[in-house]
Amino acid sequence: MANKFLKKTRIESLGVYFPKKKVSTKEILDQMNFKLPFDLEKVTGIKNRRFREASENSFILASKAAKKCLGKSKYKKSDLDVIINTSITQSKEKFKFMFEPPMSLFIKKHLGCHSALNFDISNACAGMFTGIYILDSMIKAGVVKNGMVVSGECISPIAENAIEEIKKPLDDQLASLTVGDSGAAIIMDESVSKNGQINYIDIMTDADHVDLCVGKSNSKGTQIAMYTKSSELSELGKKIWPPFSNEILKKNKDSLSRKNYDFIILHQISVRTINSYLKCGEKFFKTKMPETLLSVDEFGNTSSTSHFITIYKNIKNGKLKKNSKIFMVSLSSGVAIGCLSLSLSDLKI
Amino acid sequence: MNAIIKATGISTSKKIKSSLDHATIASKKCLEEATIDKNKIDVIINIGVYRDENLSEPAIATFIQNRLDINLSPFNSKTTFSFDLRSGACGLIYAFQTAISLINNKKAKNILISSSDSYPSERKNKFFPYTTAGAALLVSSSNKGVHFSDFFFRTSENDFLGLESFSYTKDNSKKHLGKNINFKINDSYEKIIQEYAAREVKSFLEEKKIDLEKTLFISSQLSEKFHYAIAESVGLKKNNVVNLYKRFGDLHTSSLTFGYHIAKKEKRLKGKKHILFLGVSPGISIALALYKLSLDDSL
Repeated sequence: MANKFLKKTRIESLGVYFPKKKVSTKEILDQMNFKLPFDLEKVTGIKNRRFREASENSFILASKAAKKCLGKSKYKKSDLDVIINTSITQSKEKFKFMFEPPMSLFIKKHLGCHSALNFDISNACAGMFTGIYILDSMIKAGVVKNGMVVSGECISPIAENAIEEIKKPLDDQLASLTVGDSGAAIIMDESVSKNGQINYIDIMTDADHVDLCVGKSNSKGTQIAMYTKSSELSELGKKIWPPFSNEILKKNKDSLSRKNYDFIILHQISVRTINSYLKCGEKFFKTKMPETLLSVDEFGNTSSTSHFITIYKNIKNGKLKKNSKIFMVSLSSGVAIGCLSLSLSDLKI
Repeated sequence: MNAIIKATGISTSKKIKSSLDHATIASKKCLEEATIDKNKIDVIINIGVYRDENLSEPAIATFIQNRLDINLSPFNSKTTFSFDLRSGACGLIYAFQTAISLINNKKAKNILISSSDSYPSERKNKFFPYTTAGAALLVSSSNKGVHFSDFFFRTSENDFLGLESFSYTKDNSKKHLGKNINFKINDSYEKIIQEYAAREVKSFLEEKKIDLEKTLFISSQLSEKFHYAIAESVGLKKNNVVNLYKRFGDLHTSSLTFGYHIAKKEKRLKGKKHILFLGVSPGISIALALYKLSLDDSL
């Protein structure tokens, strides 16, 4: 008898939305009263990022990405079984952060997917990964046939706060200068071919380091802020991603090499951090890492959407094609670390 | 769907104002009741909405994992995954469905679902409609048949939300955004959601044809009358309703776990075949889970 849980899921469609306003690292630095004693663009490799227009918020960014995603999908709005919103930011108006109803409900109503289930996931930059992990299980368990994982990250307010409040070179808000706004949405369903499927996904939380990156209001209570112990988080990431990935690879009788994977996508923190992670990976796995794909240079750290912004950018520039095999690593505050092995479907963007 | 509710825990002290403290205490009690090695917890899902300081990251579940010292080192052979799921008082039903999906895919065997809501400033606020408390429930894999037999979710198609809660992320007033939440509640919210829930529960029960005499009803409790009114309109007797409101008020995301916990402690599962869980949320949304009781539950 066939085991119904042997089936695989796939990413059936992808939609991405960027606000039009492009902000360079130089423009960010020019707004700061405190002058950093180093070249932030050189240190991070981030040239630009997008910031929302005055009329945009998490809901708008998510909804625009979701509409684009549905537009590229074979599914109609009435076909969607579940919508999982995974953004950290939950703004509905420019400065209004929603608690209830959940953002997924607003997106569902906006799209007109009235019969879909909806709930929100909150897991920092691992939000979309967590959404995929859950939806993958729901589809395999037969609870739903398909679903959307969506995130509208309107995260530039933390950069605006950092611009105002940074007063020392290694300030806890330094990482906030690297973020950018975006929306991303994917539709998942059961795979029809091994050339287009999520081969596996796994994720865990190293909760010993829960305080390395915290998002909350600033001390004056006037603006949201993110406080990151960047160097500690970066060192921890370097230490844990290779052995954790190795465990997952072994469990799936897989290995991380240029032979097995066309590309690797790490969480888009900065070009320099990604390169240092790759060096650690090479040392640990004793082999060259697959070619790395980036979006952080042009779009900054877009938090929970970062892997899908990277996939979008690299489909658009022709690097990623149908059947490309990608190893994705998520690293976020918590500290949540996840691996996703993806054979790319024929995504139209 | 081979999963059971293995244990529950609640935190009710009025001296405790922190939502994280409540969720942690309830989780600890739940694990003690389950007599399970805490390192066997595979997944922690926190479903609370109103958290200390309006914290936006990391997930509250990661703090609970940290405080309970569950598989903290990533280099152990055993790991735990923590995240938050938010869907108001429907959160527990979505967490049930998520837990069962993970169990059926052999991703997890033991899933701890915690909840708590508190006003972020930890001060009593007259506009905060919910009781500050915490609850936790352990869902475990089971080879003793199907317990979670049916789920049902509905959202109204119109624009009526009933309740909106929010804070301003750039606030030039004197309100500290990490310490305040604004509530906008429509005067008709309770009446409209009660009628909506009653209609949907009725259509669900008509299809399921379960013995209502042997069904215990555990519901969100917006007022003293809310759950009784729904029960009456669908043919459930008053003594089959778990009433929490008089003792605890509206426990919001913790209501359903509290209901199960209290019912079990008061031996109200005895002689019952099913529990019907109903969560209601602004938007307006309802979520139902039908849970088939085992002989062990009735003891």
